[in-house]
Amino acid sequence: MRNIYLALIRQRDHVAFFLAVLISFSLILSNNTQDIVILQGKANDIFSFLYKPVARLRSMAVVEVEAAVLREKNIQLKLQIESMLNLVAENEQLKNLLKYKRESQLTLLPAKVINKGLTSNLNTITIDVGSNQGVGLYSSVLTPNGVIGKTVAVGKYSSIVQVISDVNFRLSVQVLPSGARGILRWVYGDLCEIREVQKNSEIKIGDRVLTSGFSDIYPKNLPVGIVAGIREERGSFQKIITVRIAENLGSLINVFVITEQKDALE
Amino acid sequence: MLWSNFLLTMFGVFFLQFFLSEFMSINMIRPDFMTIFVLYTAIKFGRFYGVIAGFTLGLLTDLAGVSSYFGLSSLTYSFSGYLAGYLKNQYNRLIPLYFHLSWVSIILFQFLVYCFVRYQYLYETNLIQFTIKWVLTMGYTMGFILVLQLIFPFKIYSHAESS
Repeated sequence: MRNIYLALIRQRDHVAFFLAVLISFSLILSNNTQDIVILQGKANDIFSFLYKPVARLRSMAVVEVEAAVLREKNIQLKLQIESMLNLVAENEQLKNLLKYKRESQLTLLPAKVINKGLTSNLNTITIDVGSNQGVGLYSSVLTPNGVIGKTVAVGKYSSIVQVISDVNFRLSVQVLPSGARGILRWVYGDLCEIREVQKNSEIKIGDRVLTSGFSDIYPKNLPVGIVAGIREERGSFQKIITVRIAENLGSLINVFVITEQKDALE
Repeated sequence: MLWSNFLLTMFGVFFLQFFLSEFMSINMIRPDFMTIFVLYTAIKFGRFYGVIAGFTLGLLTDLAGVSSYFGLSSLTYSFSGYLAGYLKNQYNRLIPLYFHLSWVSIILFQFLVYCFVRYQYLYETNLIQFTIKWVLTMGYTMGFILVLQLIFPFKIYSHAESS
C-alpha cells in the first residue's frame, strides 16, 4: 500500500494529468445530463451575482448612445406605424373575407446581458432573469432584429443562453416568399448557412429568413436574417443558402425571452 | 511554492479574465489570460502545477457559461499545462529557439483543438476562413504573451542562468 502511495506521489504529474483528462472527457460526454445543467444553473447564479455591478457600469456607459439610437428608432417606428395601421385595416378585411383568423401571442420578458462567457469566442451569454421570473429551459431568446438563441441552463436569477454562434446551435427556418425550408447553422461572423434547400426553390438575395415553426422552442415567423448568397453544389439536389443575421452578437445588451407562447387557430 | 499564493494568483487571474475579457473583446475574439497563467505556472513550477492550474481554471471557465462541450476548456488547459511543464528548467538545456518554438507550438495546439471543436462546421466548409479564425483567436492571446515577454521573460521567470 505504502509503495503504491509512494509511486503515486512520485508520478503525481502524470497521475494528475490522467485524472484531469479522464474527468474532462467524462464531462464532455455527459454534457446534456440533468446534473450538469443544474450545476451550470447554480454556478451561473453565483457568477452573475459577481458580474452584475460590472454589467451595470457597462450599461451606464452606453446608455447615452443607446438613448440617441432609441430616439431615432422611435421616430422611424412612428412613421412605420402610420403606414402599418392602414395595412392592418386592409389585412383584417381580407382575413374576414377568408373567414380565417389567426392569433399568435407571445409573452416577452425583457432581460439584460450580464456576461458573455470567458472563452476566447462568444458562444454563450448570461442574462439576468431566471426561473423566478418565469424563464424555462429552452426558452427562445430574441432581440427586435431577430432570434439570437435559447436558454440552456436556468438558475433562479440568471440563465445561460446558447447563442446562434454556438457550434451546436440549429434553427429550423423558412425563406420567404418562396417558403423553402431548411436548417440554419452558424458559419462565422454574422453569416449562417441553410443546406437542406431544394434546388428548384426560387430564392433571391435579399429574401427574408424567418423561423419555420417546426419546433417546440421557436414560434413561427420570428425574423432571423436575410439571404446574402446562394450557391449550388454539383452533384447535389440541394442548394446552399448563405444568411446574414441582422443582430451584432458582439454588442448585445438587451434581449427578450419568450416565456409563454399561445398559438391558436380558430 | 505556497499553495495559498498559488490559489490566490489563480483566482486573481480568473477574475481578471471574468471582468476584463469582455472589455478587451475585438470582433467577438477575446484575450485568454488563463492560458498565459497556465503557461507561466507550468514553465516555472512544472507539470503538476500546470495541470492543476489548467484543470481548475478550465472548469471555472466552463461553469461561468458554456452551452456545449462542457469540459472542453479543462481538457485543453490541462493539456497545455502538462506539455508546458516539460519546459521547466529547459531554457539552458535547449537552444533558445527550440525553447520558444516549443511554447509557441503548445499555444498553437491548444487553440487549434479549441477552434476545431468550436468551428468544426467552418473547418469542413471553408478551411481558409477556419485558419484565419484560428490564427486570430490565438494571435490575440499570443500578443499578450509577447508583451509579457518584455516584462517577465521566460528566461528570467524560470530562474535560468543566462548563457
